[in-house]
Amino acid sequence: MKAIARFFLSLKTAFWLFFVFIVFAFIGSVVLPNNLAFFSGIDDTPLFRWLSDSGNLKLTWWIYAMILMLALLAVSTIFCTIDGTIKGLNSRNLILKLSPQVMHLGVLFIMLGHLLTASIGFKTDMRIKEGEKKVVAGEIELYLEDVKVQTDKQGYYTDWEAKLWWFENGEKVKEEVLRPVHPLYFGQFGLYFKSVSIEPEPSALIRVCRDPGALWALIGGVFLSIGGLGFVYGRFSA
Amino acid sequence: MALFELSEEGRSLLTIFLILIPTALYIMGLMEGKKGYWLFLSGIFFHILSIVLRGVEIGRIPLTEKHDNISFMALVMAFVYWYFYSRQGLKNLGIVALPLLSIFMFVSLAFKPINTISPFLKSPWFYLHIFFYFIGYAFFGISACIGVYYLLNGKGEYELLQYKGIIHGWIVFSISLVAGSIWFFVAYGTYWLWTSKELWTTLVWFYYGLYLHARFIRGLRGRPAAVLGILGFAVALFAYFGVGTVIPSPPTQF
Repeated sequence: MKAIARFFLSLKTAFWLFFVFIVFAFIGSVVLPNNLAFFSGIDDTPLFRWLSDSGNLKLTWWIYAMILMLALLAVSTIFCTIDGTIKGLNSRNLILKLSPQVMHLGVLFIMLGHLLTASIGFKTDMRIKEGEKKVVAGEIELYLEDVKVQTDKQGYYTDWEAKLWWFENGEKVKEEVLRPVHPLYFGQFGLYFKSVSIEPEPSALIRVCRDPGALWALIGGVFLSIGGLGFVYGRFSA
Repeated sequence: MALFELSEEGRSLLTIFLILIPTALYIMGLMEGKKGYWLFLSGIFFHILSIVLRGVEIGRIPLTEKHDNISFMALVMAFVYWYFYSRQGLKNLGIVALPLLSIFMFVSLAFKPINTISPFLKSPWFYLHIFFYFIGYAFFGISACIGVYYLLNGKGEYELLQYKGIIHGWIVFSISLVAGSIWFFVAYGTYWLWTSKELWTTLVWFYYGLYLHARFIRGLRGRPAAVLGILGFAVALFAYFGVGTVIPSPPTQF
């Protein structure tokens, strides 16, 4: 046990895990754009489901390798955070010593978020025509109307919006306006306005997501930012 | 909003003019003594003016495309250089830093200013993402210059300053990635995409994470760490300029 702890507490271990992760990310950045057709659906499905469905290890091995490196980095981070926190509690400059541990914690939460998103998230895109009602994920019933677009002088769409009606058990529950970068949240689902068409008939491409990992990733991001700012403050006040 | 009633050619000339004035002043900042110092500060003044005028012309914060981003990064580099010059006493850092930020000013001219904006970019989270992203890059850039300066004269305190610059840059860069993830989630319902661009941005973050850990390993302090820090900026520049040109990163469905 001591040998394992020593291994994961070692900075050299962290260094090599970072290094190998970087190598795999680099390989991925080359493999991915050269096999676009194969990877076209990777962002539309939770990662683990996409990996098991794709069944092509020749093209996806680097993703498994990255996940393995991240798992090992997570273990290393847990060991280092516990060790750093114990040592930091006896320090005079508590903020300076503990803020890197807060950042570590943030990274762990972000990893947890990605793990949940990759395993139990839900994503689907649906096109709804104006005046049409659609059921999504067997739970959501949506009706679209009043599709509006703004164009510039060249005729490019500069903004768009549409009214969405939300139904439960056949009864209208809500009516909201959906616009780009202004998602609507209904229960566990988020609705995002991806694109709009006016010809041949007004319609909207809407992404429907349920992402249980996003909140954890956000919490991780907050920890990472607070830890970082704490470190800067700790340095200046030291 | 059109700032001046100018033709397309007139506007292009004005853009070039507004970039060349501060660039010339930055280069003249290499002159010794107070004269050089004040010329450099005048460069900052005219650089801010050029960014403000550009913002007034397009009616928003000019941070949404490469011409504006690179100019903004060069301005932050000028401020970071100024800090290390005046507060940390790196009086000769300009020999490395000022030519570099002048090069970035020229590079910004290589990208045609674009005045339209996608509705997906109209989010404060996007602006925060870009704002912090290029502040991080500016810290990485000046830290690389300090690393070169250290390699040239070997004074250990400069390597420590390079480390301080990088850790500040990395923290700001981390905050920019958090803001970017929030923006992307609000815009598209996901906070990660499998594209070369995302992989390389992650790679930059991990590379500097590697540097920050490596610096505490015996045998890697000093020159090896300085070289790692300098290479980090090369990695960051490749992530910004190389991905999409050298490594293809075609636009996704997003």
